[in-house]
Amino acid sequence: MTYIENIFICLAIPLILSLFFTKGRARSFTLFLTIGMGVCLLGAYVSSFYMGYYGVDTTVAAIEITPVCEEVMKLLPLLFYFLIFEPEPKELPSAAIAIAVGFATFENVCYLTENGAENFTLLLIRGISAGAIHILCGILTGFGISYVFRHRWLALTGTAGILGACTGFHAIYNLLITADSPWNMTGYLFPPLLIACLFAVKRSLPNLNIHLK
Amino acid sequence: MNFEIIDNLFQVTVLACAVLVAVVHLFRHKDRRCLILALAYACFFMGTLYYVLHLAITGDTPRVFYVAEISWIASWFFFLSLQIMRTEGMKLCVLPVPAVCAGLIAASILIFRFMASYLVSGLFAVPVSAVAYLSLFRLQRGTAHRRTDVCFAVCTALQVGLFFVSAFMEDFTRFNLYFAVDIMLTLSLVALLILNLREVAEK
Repeated sequence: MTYIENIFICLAIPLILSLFFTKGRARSFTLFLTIGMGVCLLGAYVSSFYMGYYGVDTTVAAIEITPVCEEVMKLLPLLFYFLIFEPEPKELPSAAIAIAVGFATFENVCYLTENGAENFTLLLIRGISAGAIHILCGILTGFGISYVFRHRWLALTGTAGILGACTGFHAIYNLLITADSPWNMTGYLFPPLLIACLFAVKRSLPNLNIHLK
Repeated sequence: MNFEIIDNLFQVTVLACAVLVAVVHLFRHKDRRCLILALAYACFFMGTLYYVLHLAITGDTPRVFYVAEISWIASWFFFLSLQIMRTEGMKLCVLPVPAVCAGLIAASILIFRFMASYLVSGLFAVPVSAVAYLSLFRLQRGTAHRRTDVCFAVCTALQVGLFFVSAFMEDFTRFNLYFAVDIMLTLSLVALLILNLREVAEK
């Protein structure tokens, strides 16, 4: 049995304490990081509920239930921030990425507690790929909501579309990593490759002079 | 080889190419519509890829949350976003013929419960019927780029038709009407990409 609430308290309290002594971007990043961890905890509860409700094992839950629950849970605080505080478009992607990083960190800590920390190679691969998948989803959500689908009806349809896109993407990753070799290796490799491609595109964006009409 | 896998692999390949083409045009024309098109095709691609991978890895179709369907619905939400963008600046009102057609599509999706549950069917009915409404609305108003709207309407009809046909089919290992409609849908989606990109280039 993993006491994830205790782990959450242990990880979140120093971060919450730091909020009283920091300002500006560092403070908001820490806040969203902590929110991401909290969302991961709540996502685990929701996934467990559906797992029991449908009477499925952990593999089926990882493939079919967890991606939906996790992506919905990650979107909710971001939507709250977007709709209530109406931030500048440039502020939303960093919030989405911070939530994703918090989520991935807490998920990794729970994985370590459950499976041990002996296998360095596996943990390195898992750390990179799980981090990359959550960050990719965070980037898609943050940039999508803030820049592409910001206006009126587009915000509604675009957000629904982005949620579905993230769910599908996350589900494919979970499906691949829960399978045997060589599927799981493909699963572990494609998020880091995609994030590397995205980084290369980001670096070359000023040269490409992309401004979406 | 199971024809379902062949059909899905064909769709995955075609949609992957569509995503690449849309991304290339995004860099060339710097138009938001290309990005939305790329997202729409990527979602359709991911839905089919998840389905075919699930079939290949577990030997069975998804049974609990039907993630593939969520991706397909997302794709239709992106197509709806595109139609909303194309309709921007037009004064929207309720026209009888488009409204009846959209209503019939939504009702058939809900009554025959095309998706895993009524909730998911409802989520599917919204973008598909809205795309049908906006396409027919634009056609009736006689706006420019009629071919694109016709293609949008054909795609919605084929998507709904696909679910109707699937209800009457039992054997998915051999070629049948279901696969014919599915291949037509894939090719219509390609035509939609070409027409939209032509529209972007003309702009």
